[in-house]
Amino acid sequence: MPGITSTQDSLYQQVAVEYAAALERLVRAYEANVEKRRDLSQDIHVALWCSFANFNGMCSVRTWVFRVAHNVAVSHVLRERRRRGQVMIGLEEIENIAAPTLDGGHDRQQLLDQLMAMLRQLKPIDRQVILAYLEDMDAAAIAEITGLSPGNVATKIHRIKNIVSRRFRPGEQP
Amino acid sequence: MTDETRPDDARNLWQSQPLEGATMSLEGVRERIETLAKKVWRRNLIGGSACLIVLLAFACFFVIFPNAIQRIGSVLTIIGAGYLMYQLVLGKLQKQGLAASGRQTEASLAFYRSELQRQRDFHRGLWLWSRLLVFTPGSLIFLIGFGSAYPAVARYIHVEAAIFGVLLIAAIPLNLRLARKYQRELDALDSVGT
Repeated sequence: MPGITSTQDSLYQQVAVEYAAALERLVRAYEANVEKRRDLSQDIHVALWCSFANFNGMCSVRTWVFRVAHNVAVSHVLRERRRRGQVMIGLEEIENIAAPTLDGGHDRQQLLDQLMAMLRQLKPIDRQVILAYLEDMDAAAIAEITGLSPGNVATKIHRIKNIVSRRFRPGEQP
Repeated sequence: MTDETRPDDARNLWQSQPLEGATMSLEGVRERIETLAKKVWRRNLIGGSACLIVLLAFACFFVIFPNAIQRIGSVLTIIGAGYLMYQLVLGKLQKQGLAASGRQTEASLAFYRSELQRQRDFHRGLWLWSRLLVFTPGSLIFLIGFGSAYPAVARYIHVEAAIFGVLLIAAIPLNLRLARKYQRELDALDSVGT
């Protein structure tokens, strides 16, 4: 049906531009390997385009986009975990692990690498909460995307704030 | 500067990271869909061909070998290979159904739970036992029949059948252990609550 297809296409095109940076950051938090990251990114874009055939406006476009992107990424993570036997941990465990110390100046790249390494070992739901938090979403939006209760999201955000306050402090630019 | 980070610092660090500007045009999306469809088709073709070869080979064995036990083994293996071919078609249909139902637009928690359930169920219950039943009886009975029809090589055939049996038996606890691992994750997810 041309009508539906053109709506689907225009929604996708709008999203592909508006959320390009956020989606790229999301993909980086799920996959370290460059080749696999490209594949995951493409899978997310395909899933988004397909999903817009069923978009009914019951939630915001942003919620829709992040749900689809996270769900595709979760499938990817579970697949990779089966292959690599990777162990994932929760926010509670991260909170209790001593933060690695960085020698010398804490430049942004070092902090970013450390943040990325931490994100990539998190369990999917915790990873989604922290990523949404880092993308400036409030507790209500995070709850809508993840399906967690707002109270649960608030608890997790409290933990996230504790973790970032201890670990990620951008220093002076070199 | 304080020792503590303001949450905004971490957000700023995250959002200001250098990016490659990766995105995808509509043309790119369509090309990717075509590539994925070809990949699935190729995978099904390889799997289907392998099943067909097994099916034809054991159909020939059924005709060639007069021994009744070998013939029973051949028939069971043919049924197993046929069942696998059916599963391949069914798997394809399930994927189409999955895309149509738009499960990927569900809230992440529900989606993650269903993915874990799917993986847990793959390693236990009907999925596990049907896979074992497809491979085990036909092959074992055929090997036993082969051993009884050709006593000169019976010893080797029986050793082969024993190794095959041990590997299959070992697969049961391994699968059940994986299923329990997924169940523990599901329990942990449920304890988080919604």
